[in-house]
Parts: sequence; C-alpha cells; structure tokens
Amino acid sequence: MSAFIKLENISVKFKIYHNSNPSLKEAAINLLTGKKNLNTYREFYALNQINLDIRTGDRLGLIGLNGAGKSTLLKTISGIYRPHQGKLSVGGKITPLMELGAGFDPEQTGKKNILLYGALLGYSQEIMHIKEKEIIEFSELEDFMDLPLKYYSSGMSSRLAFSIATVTDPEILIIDEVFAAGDAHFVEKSSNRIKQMVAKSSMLVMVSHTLSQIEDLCNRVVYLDHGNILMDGNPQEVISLYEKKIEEMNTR
Amino acid sequence: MLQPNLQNFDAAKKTGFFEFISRNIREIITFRHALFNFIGSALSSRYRRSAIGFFWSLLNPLFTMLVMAIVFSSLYKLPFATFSLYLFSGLLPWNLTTSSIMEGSRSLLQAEAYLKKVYIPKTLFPLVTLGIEVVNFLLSLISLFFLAFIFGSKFSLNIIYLPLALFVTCIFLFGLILIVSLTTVFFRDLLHIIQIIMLGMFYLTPILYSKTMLSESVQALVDYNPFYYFINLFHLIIYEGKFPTFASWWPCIILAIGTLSIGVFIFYKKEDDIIYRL
Repeated sequence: MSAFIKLENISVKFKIYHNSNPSLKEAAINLLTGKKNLNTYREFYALNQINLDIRTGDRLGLIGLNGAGKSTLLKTISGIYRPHQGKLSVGGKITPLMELGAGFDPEQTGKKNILLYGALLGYSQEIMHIKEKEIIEFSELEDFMDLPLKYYSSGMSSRLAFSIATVTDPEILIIDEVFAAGDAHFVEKSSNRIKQMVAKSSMLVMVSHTLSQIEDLCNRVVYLDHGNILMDGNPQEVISLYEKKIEEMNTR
Repeated sequence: MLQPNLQNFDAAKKTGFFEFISRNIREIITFRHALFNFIGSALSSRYRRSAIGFFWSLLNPLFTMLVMAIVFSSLYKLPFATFSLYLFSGLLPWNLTTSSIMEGSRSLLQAEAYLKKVYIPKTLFPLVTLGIEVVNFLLSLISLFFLAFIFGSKFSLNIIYLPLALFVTCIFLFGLILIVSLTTVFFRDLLHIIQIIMLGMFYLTPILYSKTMLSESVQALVDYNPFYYFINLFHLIIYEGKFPTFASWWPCIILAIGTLSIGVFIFYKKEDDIIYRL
C-alpha cells in the first residue's frame, strides 16, 4: 500500500494572550465597566502557507532553529493541531514516536503502564498482551515489571517507553527528537531498532537537531524558518545551507 | 495508530454537527481501551493510597453520613434508621453529582500532557471523569445496602428501577461535565466559582431535610433547582420504594437531553480551540 501526506497551503496560527490566565471574574468586570479589551492577543503563524507533498519511500527530515515550526508541523500531520487554513490529506496509519514517557502513570506497575501506553497509541489490549513479552525483553527490565514506575530511574522509564513505542511496524512513522536514553549498550540497540523501523515503514517524517542523525536516516530534508519552507531538497545541500546560516548567525 | 477523519481535512469546509457526533462516537470506540485504562488506574491509585485501601474509601463517607444522620435525626426527632436511609439515598447521588462536576471541570486541563502529545478524542476525558465517579457511586451504594440491612430497612422490588434513574442522571452529568470542562479551559477561575455554587446548591436541595419541611415560598425556590429533580428520583426509588411517576421522570429527561445537547454543541463549536488554549 502506498502512503502519502499532502499539505496544501497549511497555516497554523497561535494566539499569544496578553492575559495568559483568563478569568471569568475579569470578563464579568470588563463587561460591567464597559471595557472592550476582553482578551487582547497577538497572533503569529507557526506555519505559514506550507505546501508539502510527502510520498511513499520519503524519509523526510525537518530542520530549523527553535520555534521554526518543526514540531508544529509534525503535530499538525498527527492531528493534534487543526490547521486554520488549507487542506491536509493523510493516507496511511500514523505511528508517533513523541516525547518518551508522556503517557506514563508513575503509580502503576511497569506491566500496567505497557497497556496504558499502548492504549494511548490506539492499540487494543489483545495486541498489547501479545506484544508484552517482546516489549519487556527488549527493554531488559524483566525484574522491574511489577514495580510502580515511580521507582524506575529516568533511563529505565525511557527505555520502557521506547520499547513500547517501537514494537509495531509503522506505516507512517513520526519521530520528534526521540532517541532513547540509557546506557551506551541500550543507545546502540535502540538506534539499530530505529533503523529497522524506518526501513520497514513506508514513510518517515522526523525532527532532530542532531544533523548526523538526519544525514543517517533521511533522503530528503526540509529547512523551516519562521513557519516557512526555506529549502526542500537532498540532505547534503539543505544541511550545508543550514550550517552556513548558523555560522552567519554566530559570527554576527 | 488510528487517526480517524484526518484522512482528509479542509479548513475551508466546516464539519457538520452530526458528522462531528458520529466521528466522536467512532473515536471513543477506537480508544475504549484508553478509556478503561484511565478509569482503572485512577480508581486503583485512589484506593491504594491508604493502608486499608478500598475498605477505607467506603468507610470514610459512611462515617460522615453517620454523624449527619445522628445529629439531624435527633434535631428532627425522627427515628434514626428511617432518617439515615433518607439521608443516604439523597447524599450518595449528590456526591456523585458534585464530584462529577468538580472533577469534570479539571478533566481537560489535567489531560494537557496527553492532548499535546498524541491524538486522542477530547470527549474521552469528560467520559473518564464520569466513569470514575459512577464506579465510586456504585461502590458506596454497596455500603448503603449493607447499612440498610443492619438497620433492618426493607427495600421494595422497585429498586430494580435504580439503574434507570442512574442512567438518566449520567446523561445529565455528562452534559454538565462537557460544559464545565470546556469552559474551564477558557476561564480558569471557574473551578472556584463552581465550588461556591455547588455548596449553595447542596443546601437548596432536599437532602438534609425533606421538601415538605420548607415554607411554600422556599419550596417554589427549590423547584428551580435542577439537581432537586434527580435527587428526588433516588429518594423515591430507594427511600420510598416507589416507581417514580411520569411527573417525576419528565423534568429529569428534559434536563438530561437539554444539558447534553448544549454540552455537545459547545464542544462542536470549540473543540479545535482547546489545544491552543491549554
């Protein structure tokens, strides 16, 4: 099956409210005293009319400075942010490999958290029960499975998260700056697994600040700046432009 | 990972109201395991926190209610067993109501970490709150029956209508939770305002007293309290052992459908803005 993602003129707008903690009390007072400035805000475009066509076989890396819109773009593709403008079509199942450990409940045991995390990714209990053994084996945390997660070290819980998130074969794989923590042995093991996953997936969209990783995994790179696409092309060219820009900024 | 309805999204075309409803139902079914897991882990951490755990959580409200029953039955010079059954049959659904609303108003705010990282239908979190509170209600109902057994109270067969009353109440509460959870995202101080309102509503609902004890003008005031009609169903079924007449059902049914419709409608209007305001 062929997967595709097509963005036509996609814009995502963020509003920065001058009053970040809006209250009903204030709204009522403003209404009574006839003040009009209920909620003043400043708008900015996190993504500004983005056109992007991602096809089967694409291993797309997104680079750019902080706040360039890389994560916003990933979250828009995943359906977390609804664009304010434009058309988005996605063909294929999306597997997000987002910030590790976000879906964990520290009070629950490792075993219970496997089910919880899987459920958040939309997997059924049955699938998770089948995959459970594989997850535990890969994480090498057999002895800790009946312990509440709060007793895990941070390295251990991200090992578990990584093992859960990477247990299925994804169609469209979305990676946001996720690379397993842990000891050198586990880092090696997980980077191999990522490579396997990428190889099996029909499409990869990833964000990373580690340019060597992008060079390693991607065959196409998009350079984002202030919500606009500056350049879209083969990894060497785009990365060298990006590096040049950073150098300019540093010497200034 | 399933991403329903995202196969095609066009900002220029607004989804229809019924399309929105059917999409949400589909998504909740897809994410039902997440729903059960959230409910399960919230309950297990609530009950595990103390040494006698689950048992303590039943004992705690039971003890509060016992003290209330002792004080007020002597105040009203009513037999303790009779009054305590009346009190409990009203207080349990009231606790279900307030905790659903209080916890419900936090439900979306507390889900921020999840909502910002993976795609989950937003209506799932109000449903999680309702699920937790209903399970709590059912557990405390066990302690009510246990108590009634000790006091030698008799239940009529009409107790079989209890699930029906609970169902109508749940529809009403789900609508309310939808409304407060969404509004709290936009007005953070709503939490405190709700707390004050619910405290006032508690005294305006015949739980510690019966409606007939009030003067006529205050009785008329109680008629404007939507919560009264729901508590009344529980009083009729558990305490009086009657099947509520249609006159007792219809205000509840109308309130339930009305509240749910408002809740669903404001979610339909504002759902996409939630993520930008969390």
